[in-house]
Amino acid sequence: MKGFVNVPRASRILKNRDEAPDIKTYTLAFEAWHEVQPGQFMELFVEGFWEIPISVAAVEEGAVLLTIARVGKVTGALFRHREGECVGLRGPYGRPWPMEELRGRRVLLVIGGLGLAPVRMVIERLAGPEITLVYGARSPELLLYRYRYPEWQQRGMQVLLTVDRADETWQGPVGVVTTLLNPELVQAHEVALVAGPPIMMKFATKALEEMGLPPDRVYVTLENHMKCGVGLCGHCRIGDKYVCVDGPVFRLDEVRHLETWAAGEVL
Amino acid sequence: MKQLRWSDIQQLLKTLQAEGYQVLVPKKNAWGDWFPEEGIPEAWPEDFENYLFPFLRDLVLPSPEPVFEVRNHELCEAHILEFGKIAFFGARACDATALAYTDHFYLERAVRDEHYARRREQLVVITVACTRPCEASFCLTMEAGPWARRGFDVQLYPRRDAPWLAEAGSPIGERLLAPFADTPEQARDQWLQEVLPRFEKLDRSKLRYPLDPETRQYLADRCFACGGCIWLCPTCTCYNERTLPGTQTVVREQDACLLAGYHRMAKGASLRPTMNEMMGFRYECKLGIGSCVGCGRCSVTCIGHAAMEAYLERVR
Repeated sequence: MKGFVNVPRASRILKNRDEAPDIKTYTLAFEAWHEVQPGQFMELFVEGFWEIPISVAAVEEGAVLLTIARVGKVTGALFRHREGECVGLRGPYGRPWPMEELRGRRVLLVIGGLGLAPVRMVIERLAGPEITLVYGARSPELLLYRYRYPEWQQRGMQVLLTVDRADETWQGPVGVVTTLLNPELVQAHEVALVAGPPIMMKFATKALEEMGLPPDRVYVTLENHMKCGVGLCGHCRIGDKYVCVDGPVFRLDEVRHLETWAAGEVL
Repeated sequence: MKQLRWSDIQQLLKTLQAEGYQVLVPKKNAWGDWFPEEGIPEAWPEDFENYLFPFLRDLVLPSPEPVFEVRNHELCEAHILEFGKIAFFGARACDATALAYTDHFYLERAVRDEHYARRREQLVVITVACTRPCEASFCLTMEAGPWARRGFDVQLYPRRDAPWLAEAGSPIGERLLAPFADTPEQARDQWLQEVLPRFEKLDRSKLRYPLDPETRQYLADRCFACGGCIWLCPTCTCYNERTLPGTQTVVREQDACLLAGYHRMAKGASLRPTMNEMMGFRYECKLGIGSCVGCGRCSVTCIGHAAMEAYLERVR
């Protein structure tokens, strides 16, 4: 990318959809929507503030869909915006999931919380009998995109869900996402994708390895603080890697020796 | 290799002036600190060690710097901050080496930063190699001094009672030096033989990341998190972005990895909540990635004995 001058383009909010308390999916006008690859992210600007990195959950003609939790100043300001108002968008950035490698293989998705957003495009493209989604959230209402599960299941994808805390509506398993993993399930797959809060990724990757999936067949997506998105501002660096350009998707063996590759309790 | 008398050097600077360059040279203020000022010096200031700040960095990466603006709800590119054509005379090897590092970082990686590029194109760097080490520097160890291997257009080697030696580091440098007399390359070897024994050269392999855990904690315990080392480091280029309060202008401004806010994410979560982790992050950049040029400014400014000098003491 030559001649970079970090200026976002104005983008209209076409739609916003409530996903869960304090989590919405914004459909934002974006001309280059067809350039977005699964796992990439956009820099989102809200007037009066600064830019934040947000994974692309899905694309549709002329737009990108970003699932956003209200956690900080920028997202707080965004949540006050209505449909028809404008924000700024720049991207897409980052190394995507290795789609060529995933196609036709048995893929296990081990996902926690908001981590379903950066893998949703993978699922929309690949959902089928070779794919298994193992997904956990803190509570049933925080399970994202529940309206999509029926179609994914219809296409043959297995969806295994768990929640940390059940409510009266919940009939399924209770516990962290790793409680759904077992050697038989793990070994029935050739590749795993892991996305979620850092602490969850740390435990999930450890479990996958112990259950027989080597690190060179596990991919993770890191959610470090990607301020500029193009490898200049320094914030997302881990070791000699810049998460925004060398990632956010990494093969586990590329990063797990690096300090704080998945440290801190985020989200 | 060329040789230039002082009057030749003045002539070279006048040529640059005639070409529209603002010639900046070292000038000492009343308190003994060196700043760049416009002019052509009568003589080389023998007591000049180095500029107080890494001015070369600040000329290519000013902070804060407007990036874009919101005008009537449209997002518009801000005017690129430019300083015009500048010939920076008397840059030290460490700062020129740092410039080569930031050139690579901002121009040759994933993107070419247009703001940086525009200012860099208008900058001519004339280094004067050092004949004695300055306070707390360890440039020879870092291969960034006392003479520069890269990052300059013209490099001068001062000699007593003899014309200075000069070499070109770029096509502009070649052109500027073309009118002057040649001298054999060996002249520089002689210069090095005379000067280098005054500089300490540590075993570079000892300066490495990861630090031993005890040293890392020692440094972390002594850091006051003032950020001084980072404002003065010629290779510290990390920046943050925000809308300047009361305006619609989004700027990028220098950020400091020894301040907790650098590592803080939404909701206050931090990837590196302790000083030990932040210190590791900094040293990983300076020694692991290898951006340190050994200028010593961090040690001079550090109020807590946590900068490079403290580290080197433990390595020695």
